[in-house]
Amino acid sequence: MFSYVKDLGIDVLFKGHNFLRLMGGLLVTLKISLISIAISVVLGLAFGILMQKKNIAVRVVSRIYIDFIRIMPQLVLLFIVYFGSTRAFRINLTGELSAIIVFSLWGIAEMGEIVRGSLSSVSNHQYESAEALGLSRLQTFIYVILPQSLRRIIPISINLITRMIKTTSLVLMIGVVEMIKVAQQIIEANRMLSKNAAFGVYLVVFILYFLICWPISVLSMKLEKRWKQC
Amino acid sequence: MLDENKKEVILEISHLHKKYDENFAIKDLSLKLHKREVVVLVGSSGCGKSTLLRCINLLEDVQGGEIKLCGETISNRKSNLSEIRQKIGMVFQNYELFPHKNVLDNIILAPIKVQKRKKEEVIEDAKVLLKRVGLEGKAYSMPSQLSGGQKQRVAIVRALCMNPEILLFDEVTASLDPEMTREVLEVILELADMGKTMLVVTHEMQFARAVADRIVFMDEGSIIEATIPEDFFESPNSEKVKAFLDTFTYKQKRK
Ligand SMILES: Nc1ncnc2c1ncn2[C@@H]1O[C@H](COP(=O)(O)OP(=O)(O)OP(=O)(O)O)[C@@H](O)[C@H]1O
Ligand SMILES: [Mg+2]
Repeated sequence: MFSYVKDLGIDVLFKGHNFLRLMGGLLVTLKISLISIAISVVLGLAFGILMQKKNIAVRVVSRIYIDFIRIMPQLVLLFIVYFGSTRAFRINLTGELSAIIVFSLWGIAEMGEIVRGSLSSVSNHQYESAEALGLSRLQTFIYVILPQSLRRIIPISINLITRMIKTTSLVLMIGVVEMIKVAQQIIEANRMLSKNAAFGVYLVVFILYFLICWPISVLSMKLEKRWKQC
Repeated sequence: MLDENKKEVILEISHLHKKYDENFAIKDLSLKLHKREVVVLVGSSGCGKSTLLRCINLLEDVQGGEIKLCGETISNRKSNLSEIRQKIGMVFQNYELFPHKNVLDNIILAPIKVQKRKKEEVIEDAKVLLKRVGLEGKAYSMPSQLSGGQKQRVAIVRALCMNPEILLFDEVTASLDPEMTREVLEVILELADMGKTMLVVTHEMQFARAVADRIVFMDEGSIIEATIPEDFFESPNSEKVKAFLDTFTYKQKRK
């Protein structure tokens, strides 16, 4: 049994505090992801509702914002915020904070687009039947439009959430020590002792990402299936 | 007809004008509905029937004239729309039940949230009404599990449960096959018997004749003829009405 572990190069994780360090990296990954996701969901919802407004200025500005975020690779955004903020405003953002800012900007844009799309896919008749019954604008939104939109929003946004979790691996490029960075450090330090360290450690990293993202995907598929029936 | 002046007026429309862009959809239209009266609105497609109902229900603003409900001017109101719409029950052609709520929840939403009535009391009312339209077994079904005729009957119950002063029906059977059409029209006939005040748009002439106290014929946004069903069908005055009624009969080609 132990020889297997050695062949795969997983053994290095059992040395010293290596495994704990990897878990520490995982925590950093999760922290950046969860904070960004929370911000994205709340502000993205507001942004999507705002985009329903017919105001031209609102439309143009939000379009430019979304397109800009979509065109830019996330890595470039990370560099711009992390290094640019020091240059431009003489403030030193930590890598983690820069990462949270970038992932939130991205998440709000994508989430806003999902919310806007789902809201506008609810037919006009739904608004009219609700209003014909005397429901106010706000009541119509809360009891009729939003619940129908959420059925579309949730499965698609779960997809976005898993993408965000995966993409946080880029933050190692601005010096944040997250899970992949820790993995690299462990492999680096044990290069001489264990030939297969790279394979083993990355295998564990793979399994950890899988364990986080897979249940989320399963949940989204289940929700989608259940809501399709009604 | 003599006691007409004594009867309470529910809806009074005077000299109504409604424009979409530069085109008149309704031109100088006046109409009065008394309590317990059933008026059927007929006319060819595009003559403005739906527009009229939408104006009454404040889904459209108007460019001239006035609409009064129970003596109160309601046209072009910007505030307290909800208070007025509670008094007007409307059922559309595309039965738009709320697809995420079951039948009962569809019905009780507005009475609870808008009229702030007690939930238990509303549920009781809803169940009585559902039974009356033959749907007592469907209270907990989702709209997607219902036939078109059943959905439309639920939509009627949903409007009824608000205890409106007047009911507006806009071609509620237009997308139904004959069998389902019948079950829905039976319900409307029954409401007429119960003495509800109703303004009904329909293309079903047999039904119009059976349910109406008065038939109002519209053309290009104006009322051309308004009379009791017998006169409307047997001895129409205007050529336009004759031509309209002719579209419902087929001449035999082969002898
Ligand atoms: N939202 C709108 N914008 C512009 N024109 C409209 C709009 N709604 C209706 N119209 C026009 O107003 C006129 C009256 O339409 P309306 O829908 O009231 O007719 P209708 O009598 O209900 O016809 P149908 O029997 O086909 O339902 C038509 O000429 C139509 O083209
Ligand atoms: Mg119409």
